[in-house]
Amino acid sequence: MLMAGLLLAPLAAPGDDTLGALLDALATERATTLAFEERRDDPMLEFPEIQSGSLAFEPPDTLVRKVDGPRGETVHIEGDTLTLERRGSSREIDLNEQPALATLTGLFRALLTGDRETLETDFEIDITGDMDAWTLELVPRDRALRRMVPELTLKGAGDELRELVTIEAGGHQSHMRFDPPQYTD
Amino acid sequence: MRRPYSSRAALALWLAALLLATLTLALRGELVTDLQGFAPDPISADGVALDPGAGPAGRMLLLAIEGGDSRERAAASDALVAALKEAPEVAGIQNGRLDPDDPALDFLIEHRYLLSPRVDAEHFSEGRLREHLKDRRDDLASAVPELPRELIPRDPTAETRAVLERLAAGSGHATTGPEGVWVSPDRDRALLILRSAAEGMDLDAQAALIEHTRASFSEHADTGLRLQIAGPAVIAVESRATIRGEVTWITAGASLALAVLLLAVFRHPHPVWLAAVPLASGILIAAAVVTLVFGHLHGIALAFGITVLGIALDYPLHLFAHAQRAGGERPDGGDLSQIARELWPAIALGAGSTVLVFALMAMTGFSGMAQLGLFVLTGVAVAAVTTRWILPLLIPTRLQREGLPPLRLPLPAGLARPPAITRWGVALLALAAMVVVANTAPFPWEDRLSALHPVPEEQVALDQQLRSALGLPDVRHALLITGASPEQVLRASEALTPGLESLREAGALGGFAHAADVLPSQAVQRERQAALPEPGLLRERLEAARARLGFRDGAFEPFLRDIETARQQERLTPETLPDGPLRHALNPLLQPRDGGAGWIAWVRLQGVHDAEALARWAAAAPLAATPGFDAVGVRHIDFFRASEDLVSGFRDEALQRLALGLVAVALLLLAATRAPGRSLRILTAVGTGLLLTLAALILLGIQLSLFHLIALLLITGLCLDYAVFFSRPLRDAAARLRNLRSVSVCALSTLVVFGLLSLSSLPVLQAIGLTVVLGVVFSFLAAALLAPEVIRRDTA
Repeated sequence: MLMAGLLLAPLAAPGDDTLGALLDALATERATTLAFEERRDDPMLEFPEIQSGSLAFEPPDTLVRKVDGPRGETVHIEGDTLTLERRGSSREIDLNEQPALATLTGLFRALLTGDRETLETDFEIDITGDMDAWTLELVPRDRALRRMVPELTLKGAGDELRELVTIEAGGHQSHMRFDPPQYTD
Repeated sequence: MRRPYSSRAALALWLAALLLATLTLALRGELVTDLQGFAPDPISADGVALDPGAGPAGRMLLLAIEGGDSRERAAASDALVAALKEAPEVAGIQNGRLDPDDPALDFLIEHRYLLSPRVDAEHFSEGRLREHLKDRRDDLASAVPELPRELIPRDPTAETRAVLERLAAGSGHATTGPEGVWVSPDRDRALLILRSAAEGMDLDAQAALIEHTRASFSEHADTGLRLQIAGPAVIAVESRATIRGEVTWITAGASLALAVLLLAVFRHPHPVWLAAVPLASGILIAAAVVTLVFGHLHGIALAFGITVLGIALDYPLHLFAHAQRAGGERPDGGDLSQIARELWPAIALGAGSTVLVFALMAMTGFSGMAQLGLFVLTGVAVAAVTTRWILPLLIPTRLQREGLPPLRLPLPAGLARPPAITRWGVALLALAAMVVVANTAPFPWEDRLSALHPVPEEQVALDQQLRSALGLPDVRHALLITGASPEQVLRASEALTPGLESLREAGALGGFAHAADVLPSQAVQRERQAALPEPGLLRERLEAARARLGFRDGAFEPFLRDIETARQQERLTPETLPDGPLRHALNPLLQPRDGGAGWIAWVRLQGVHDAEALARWAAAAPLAATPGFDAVGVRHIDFFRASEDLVSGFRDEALQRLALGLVAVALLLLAATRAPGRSLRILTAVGTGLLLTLAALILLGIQLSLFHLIALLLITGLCLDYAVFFSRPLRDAAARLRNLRSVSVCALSTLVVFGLLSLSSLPVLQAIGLTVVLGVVFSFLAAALLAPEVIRRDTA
């Protein structure tokens, strides 16, 4: 036992592993809902678009993104199936046929379940700050996805996600601000 | 002892012939393996070659990567594409990943208004534009946009997507996995499609390509991953390799067994190797002659020819069997040359009859059979002549002088003097066999080429699995359109669409794809251009359509520019299409005709459920009512049927020639022997042998294939040989016994060789082996029992 412990010791997470600590903090086994406000700056639009909504996670892997208002929509992702509801009609998408969407879905699932391997395989990760004020910059490794979404930036404090900035090709940009989490179970 | 001048001349001639044959084969020898060369005329429809491997599906290899996890498989899939896409033997390789930086994708986007099936005058009305712009407005706000947001300014009507979907539908409908590459429905395997530059039935090229693919895979993929390859070419290559492997060991085994047998019977080493001399000379010279006459030698003709040339082994054996010293003394007949001279009438008669049968085959228009006929007749003639004039010279002088030791060949006494009752028995058996053969209806012919290939079950299963996972078209059915120009066949493809659509709705087929799906005809492209609104009008409609949706002024300038460009754009033709997915999709479907004016277009069919309805529809001239298509042909092609027709055509022709040949042989025998009784005996023996063999095969429940037929041809030759020898008018008992022994040695050695063949696991070799074994036994018995009565006076 002692020998085994000694041998394993160097493999354990070093103290300055912020990503490890961050993933430990973000991971949850509880149903969680985050309210957000999204601002889209888009070169095609006259005015920036501001919408509010919520992002919910239900273990093990269900994600629901709800947006209120006239252009509201609900995106429900369970397993490999994404269901989009908008103005009373719904559309199902097989994530296996949409690699880009699958990777983005995988990102959120990985953050919420502490799946570091998936995160590091899909993205180049740059982490700055400390646990009290961290910034996570993610660049997709897949070329096709990187062309569409060159960069994602997440900011937060401790186990709370505060901001998500998504830069898209063609100058489209989304800026989401999150309220503190509400536990729904 | 100096050899006489004539002997030296014969030796010199023989050596010169062998040398010339070797030179011919070395310099001009070309072994052809495709089925095309074996067919009567190329198997074709309207002059388009229809090799079973030449259809759109024949050049396709289906690859599957299994093991590891999905990421490793996807990485290996990408690595394989990168490693192989530039290889000269690869016409294209796809794994489902669209390269976002591919210039071909830009080309597709630039020409979307010519390529999209949705473009018509209504498509850019204000109402439709309004609907599209609403959707695009939703896309701008959505987490899951329908169209990638960066395309919205250029392509608000989502024409790019329509074009890509159309293209993808034509090349199958595989599932794309989460890693962006094609996967099997259970997601345990990554899938790829590789198209070879070489013809599907160019087996050497296919074998090299398969080898190259495996090597690239093991170089680039992680260990723990496995590559599976399927496709018609893989099956053909593997079955060829299996046959080769098995033929090699059976040949080695049979040669060894034959050598042991000959050594045991002749009790001397020389006959063992000398027996091979006439056969080898025959094969060499026959191969050279066929090459000189036809310009090439077909692999099938060579393999079948060598099988049938088994007769040639008998000639030297007759010679040796007659050259034994009787009771330690010199043979009665003097030296070997003397014996060869005495045996020559019998050998010449047997060989001559065989040559006659195969000469009739050589004169057919069926190129493969003509080659086989010429090969066998040359080989038999050469072997007979070699036995007569060369072989005696090759035997060492001492052996010449002393003769061979007596044969060690115990034979039942009944064989030498068959009781009369056995003759009646044979007659009854022959009668029964006739009844069996005559009453077998339908005759159990096996025409499927696939039944002849030793295709491993799992290989076929893998092929079907991958084919359905990739949504690939049917390998068996296709429609062929022939016309004068690419434009004409493309327009014909478009005109056939409604008919095909109704066949699909009626459930006769699951789907279809044709060249005009990839590249519309000039006429359709012109129509689409004409449907694009002029700039002022489009701007007016767009302004109205975008009202109150929140789009900025000028947001759709790129769209207006693109439409205007498309209106002026040079239309696409097969010649101007750049390399890329469009060309890859088009090439297998649209081709100039080989060696002639005109073009052909294929319609790929998926899930053909009712081939008859399809054939009826195609036969009913679906374009007749449409003007402008007078010279256009539309045909339903059943690739399996084409190869079945080839097999049954070959069979019918061979049977006809065999029957004709036997009639000719009857005349020859009559003319040569001037003894109607002996001729009748010989013919009856041959007929009885063939009939009994055929009846036995039928009773064994065997489906008769091409290979059984080839075996029957060999049996005809063997039986002719046996019957000629048995019917020799010999007066003294010793000569009769020698004669019997001689034929027995021949029959025994053939039994050994083909008996081993019949043990093979391969249907082809088993068929030949079993048939020949049966044939040898029946022919021998028939010939022995039909021999003339012993003349008692001489034996007393």
